[in-house]
Amino acid sequence: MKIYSFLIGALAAATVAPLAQAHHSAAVFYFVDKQVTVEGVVKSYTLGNPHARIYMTVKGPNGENQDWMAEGGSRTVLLRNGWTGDEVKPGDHIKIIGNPSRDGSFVVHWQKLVLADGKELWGEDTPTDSELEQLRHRTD
Amino acid sequence: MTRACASYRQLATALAIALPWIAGAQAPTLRDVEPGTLRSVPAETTAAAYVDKRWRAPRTSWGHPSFEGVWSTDDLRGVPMSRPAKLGMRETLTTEEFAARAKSDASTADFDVNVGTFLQHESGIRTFGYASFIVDPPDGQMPKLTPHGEALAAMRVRGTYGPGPFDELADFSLYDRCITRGVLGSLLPVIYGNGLRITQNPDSVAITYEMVHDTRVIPLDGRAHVDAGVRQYLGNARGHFDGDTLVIETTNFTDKTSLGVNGGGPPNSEQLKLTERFTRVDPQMIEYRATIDDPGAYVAPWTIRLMITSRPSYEVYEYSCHEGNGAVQHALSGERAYERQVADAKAKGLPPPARAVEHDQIRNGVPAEGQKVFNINAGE
Repeated sequence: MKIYSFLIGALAAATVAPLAQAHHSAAVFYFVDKQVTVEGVVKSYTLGNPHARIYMTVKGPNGENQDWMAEGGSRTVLLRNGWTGDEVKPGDHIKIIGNPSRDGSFVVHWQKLVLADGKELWGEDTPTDSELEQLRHRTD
Repeated sequence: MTRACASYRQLATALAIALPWIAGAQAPTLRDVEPGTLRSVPAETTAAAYVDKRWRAPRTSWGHPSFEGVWSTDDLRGVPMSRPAKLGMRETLTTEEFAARAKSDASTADFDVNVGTFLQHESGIRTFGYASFIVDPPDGQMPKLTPHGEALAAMRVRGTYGPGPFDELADFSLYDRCITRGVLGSLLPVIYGNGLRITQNPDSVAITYEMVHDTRVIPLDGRAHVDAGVRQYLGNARGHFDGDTLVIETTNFTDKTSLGVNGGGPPNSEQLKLTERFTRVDPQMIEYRATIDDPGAYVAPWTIRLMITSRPSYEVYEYSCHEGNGAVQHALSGERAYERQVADAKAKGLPPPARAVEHDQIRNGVPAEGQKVFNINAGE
């Protein structure tokens, strides 16, 4: 794992790190070095910019309902990576893995979603061979 | 969430839930990806105007060279602003250097999409052979700052990427606040939101930048610049054609923006005159040059060069920055949480905890091996 982390760090540093700046720092509000899982029922979902957001009801350890907001990637990138806006809908039971808030509020910076059917949403979008072929022959 | 489990039973429950997450997660793998066809040669060498000297840019219905359409700078993400010293006076990479960049671009694109922080990155499809964005001075290095330029750089607000503290709006950058990224900062490639849309009519050109959705409307009718007392984040732009090249001269800037990515980085003074040159060199490429003539901040003018490109099915999305922006609220709330941590530490006679600064952190999409994953539903 250390080697893997080093390789990723080296690659990022060599290529994108100097330009790698999201809209704002996540570290000022989230413990980006900590991970939590949170599971609940979706109330609403907005595929927006700069962040997509999922609002959900989470059952706490004593059976109480907690209102959570999960904040994730941007609409721009998610759409370019194949998302459609239909990924989750009200009533869906989902799990989220992500970073907890520093102030203890019910907010999570999501890294990954697991839908009710077990599907994991990471997204994939490298151009296909046919897309590349189409691009090569495009004339207008 | 508490910092530790209260009992072995809770610990067992947490592990039972957390371990499948770790074991079942698609562990990130850094793949060594071979470049595809579009990265087989430097993309600039495939431009129609370089391949065929008789090639002529498409025209609008009123006869101007056409720049209309949706464009992006995603393809340039592997090119540095300043030239690595080992490349000396060369504007382009050697064959071997290009092959290494093409492989890096292909692998990075794969990393960005499939491995990196959760879907925050977008990637290009071509690789360019430019040694650096800066082409003048010929060594590819940014000229030194004047003393006033150094003072401006020292005063630059780093916002949420800085050390804080966060107490009021002035502690945040214009970018944090969804105000602007400046002219160059809106075009230079970053991790996402690199789209732009250009529209034309006989009297003006409009450029809309995707992230923070600034739009510049540039008159082509020869009118004078506004009075020198008027200062604007994006300056005051006037355009004309030099042959088939669209030339935009912009003055009347404030000194509150900067010239680097997202409006950060190297400063500019109010004396900045920015001259941009757009030349269509291919159905899918616009060569872009911008000269920064700012005697208030730099000891000499400097020029960058890059290529704006298009690709199928690419469109500019609404940014809705204010509606979705949590930067200010979150940073203020995080600051108050930090203050409580400091007070707690002081009460216990401990040293204050370290502040969180973005670049000190590593964010991966899945927990590191062996890292505890706290379960919210279990009350951790």
